Amino acid sequence: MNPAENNSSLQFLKEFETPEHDAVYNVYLKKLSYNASRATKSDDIGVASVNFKTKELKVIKAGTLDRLLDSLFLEGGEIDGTYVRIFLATFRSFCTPKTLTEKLAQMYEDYDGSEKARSATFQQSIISVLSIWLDLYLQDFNEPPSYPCLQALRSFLKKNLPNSDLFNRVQHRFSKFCTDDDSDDGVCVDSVDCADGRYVVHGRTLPSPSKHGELIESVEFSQLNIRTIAEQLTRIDADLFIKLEAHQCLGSTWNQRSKDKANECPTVAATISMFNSVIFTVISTILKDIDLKASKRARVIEKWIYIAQELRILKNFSSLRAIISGLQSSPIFRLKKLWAHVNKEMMEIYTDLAQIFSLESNQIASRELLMKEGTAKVSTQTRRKSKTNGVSDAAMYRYDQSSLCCGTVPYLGTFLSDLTMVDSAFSDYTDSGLVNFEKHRKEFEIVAQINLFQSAAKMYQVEPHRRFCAWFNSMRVYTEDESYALSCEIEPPSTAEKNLQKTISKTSVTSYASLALSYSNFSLKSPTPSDGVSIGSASSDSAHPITSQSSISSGDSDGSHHPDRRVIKVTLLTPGSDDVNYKSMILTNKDRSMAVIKRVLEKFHEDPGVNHDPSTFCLVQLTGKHRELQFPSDANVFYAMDTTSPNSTFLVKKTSERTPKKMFKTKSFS
Amino acid sequence: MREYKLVVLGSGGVGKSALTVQFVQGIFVEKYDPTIEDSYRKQVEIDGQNCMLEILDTAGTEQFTAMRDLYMKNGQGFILVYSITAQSTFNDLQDLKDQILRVKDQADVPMVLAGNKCDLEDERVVGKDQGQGLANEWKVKFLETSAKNKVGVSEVFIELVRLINRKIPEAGKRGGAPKQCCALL
Repeated sequence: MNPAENNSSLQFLKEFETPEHDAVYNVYLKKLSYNASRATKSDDIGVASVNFKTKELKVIKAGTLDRLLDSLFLEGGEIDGTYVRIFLATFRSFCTPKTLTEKLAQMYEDYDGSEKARSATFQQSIISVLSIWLDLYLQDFNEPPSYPCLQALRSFLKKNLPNSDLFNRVQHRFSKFCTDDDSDDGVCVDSVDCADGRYVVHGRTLPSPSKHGELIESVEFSQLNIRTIAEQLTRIDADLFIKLEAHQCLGSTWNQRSKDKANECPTVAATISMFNSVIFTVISTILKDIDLKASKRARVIEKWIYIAQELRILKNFSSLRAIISGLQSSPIFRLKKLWAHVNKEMMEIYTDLAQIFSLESNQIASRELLMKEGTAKVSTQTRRKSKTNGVSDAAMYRYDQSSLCCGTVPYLGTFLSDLTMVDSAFSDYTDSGLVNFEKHRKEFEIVAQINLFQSAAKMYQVEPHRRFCAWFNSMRVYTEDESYALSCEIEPPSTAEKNLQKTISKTSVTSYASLALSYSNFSLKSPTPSDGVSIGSASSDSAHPITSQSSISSGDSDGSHHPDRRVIKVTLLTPGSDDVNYKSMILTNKDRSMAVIKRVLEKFHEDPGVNHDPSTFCLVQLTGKHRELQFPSDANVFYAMDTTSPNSTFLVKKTSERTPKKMFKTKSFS
Repeated sequence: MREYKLVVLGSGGVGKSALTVQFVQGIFVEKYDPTIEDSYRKQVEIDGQNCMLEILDTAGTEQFTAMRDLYMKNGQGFILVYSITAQSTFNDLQDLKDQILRVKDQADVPMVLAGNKCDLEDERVVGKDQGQGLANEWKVKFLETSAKNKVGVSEVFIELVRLINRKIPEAGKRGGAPKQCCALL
């Protein structure tokens, strides 16, 4: 064993409290060796010849703000780099940015030491701290409309260092903030914008019309190849992760019960939105077409497994986990007959990938894998059975040689969870009221890891793919209830499941309040509604109940709310055709007749080019033998429909057309 | 030794994590590290039997709504936590409970209802009778807890283990869990 490796070890000496009781330090003895190089020649001689000297090291454990600020600087006045980083990453729980600016300015001005040399070093150090702060945490200074923190910094510098580089930077930043006031800060995700690969803030920044005015092309999941999807998901995930402000993940910020997390921690919320969105996309691609044969539907699952495998190679653990979670969600997982159709080899790959995210032993598997590969150049995973997968070795080689493999995107949830636990385990203040800085050191261990992976995420180089964006943005996703209802349509519930449904008092399953965050940002992925027959209007309508439900959780104290959606069967009357083909669709309590008609026309006409004017159609419910109920075009179908009728069969027909008698006798009308 | 997988669920900010940390670490919080393998594992003796509890805490990841199914699928018993100082956290539980039943595909799943933060009596908005009422309706055990003052913390976990024992008696007695038998060979 080489003693040189041990020479930096710290030996705990004592705990030391200042006489003023305003700080507690741990004092360590630090061994420093010299002549260490000789130690390598031979162990025997090496050990004997190494000389040590020791130095006392004071490390602050807890203190008042002033004492914590003192610790930013070493005895000679130089900055303590490590401490400065920990402090800047975590100070927001005990001090506002504005107070910090003022305190540092005060320290600068008050320090008029008698020792000229030390004074200069010390003042230079304060400027360094400010400069590092501005570099790493620019958003602290972005407080429109008056930017109090930046203002304070500017006036301090103007007075003391008007010709400095820092002053110029602050000036520049100030005017930039002011002019950028209304533009996006590029963190929230609403839709993925292809043109420049940036993300726009939901409902606020509308991209220039030239980009979005063009026709939205309709792209199907089946038309996109596996590589493209995996790479594009990685592009978005990596971009969001790079923009993540790690200090927003701290328990003191993220773990609050505030409902407004999307505003307080926008970068965290954006990442989670994306993650949930991938899960919901997986689920909806599988369930979307109710009438698909099990063998065909299994191909959709297999395609997602292929994509997951690509993501594994790309080391994108975020979307990889989302896909695996999507496949394991109840609406998909319960489809036993469907899973029986999934190819055996694919099942093996899937099982292996799912194993990564086993919850066993505090998720040790995924933690270790991330540690091993997170910052490594390549993934240890190679494609299994590459030939049968239709990937040539040459292609794989090219792929693996590309810079793509260097990056990593971790699953953020693990860090959020760890930080929340640290926040709970360690108190903010000691019993004597000092800031517990030990806690922040613990937090920083995790924050530093996030930062490390953020630099790894910068290694990816993927260009935006227009057709992928068109698909991903327009994909209609379902709520958990809708998914479950569709799933039950595909494979009817067993008797046991049905009995269970009776036990479950309501149809609602998820807390809408918590869904609101993901949905308000994401599920309205509808194309520009300028296109009159676009599904956009219908799908955005159906997503609204979720947003509005969020208010229920606070107002509705007895917790009883009504089911706000049900599955109905619809058919489109085609004159001259004997074909009676029913399709299922979900009706929500926001759906008006016109929107339902539009969706039915969409469902039955695969070619959207065929021009159907919805206003020439009407919607009727077949309520009994020879009886029908016609809805006015602006009726709320959900509430207007006859719910006492034994089934919910609907018909869309030309307004002029009469309902033929046979319609009342179809087999589905029991 | 029998292993138990317990899942702690509830809205963000109800103090789930504090309950878990308090139970697992007790007074040794100083040494706590959330990232290691056995951070949430604890061996306890319950009714004369040694039990290994592995606790899955969803704290911090509540917004990953679509991940809940997974946690639920992995758990044998559930602690549903609300804060007595926030009505909404109480109201959220009905949906969570229904989701558990659906994911587990069983009508009877071992569950304990915990009204946390009972040290904050001044800020109370959810009455004890409300908690008890919901627990009666669900036919589950109810406890008020304070992670801060160490009230009812171990009781919640121990009670849950007893429920699991009652529902699924130890492997062998009923010929259950053949896997464990194989593992001995």
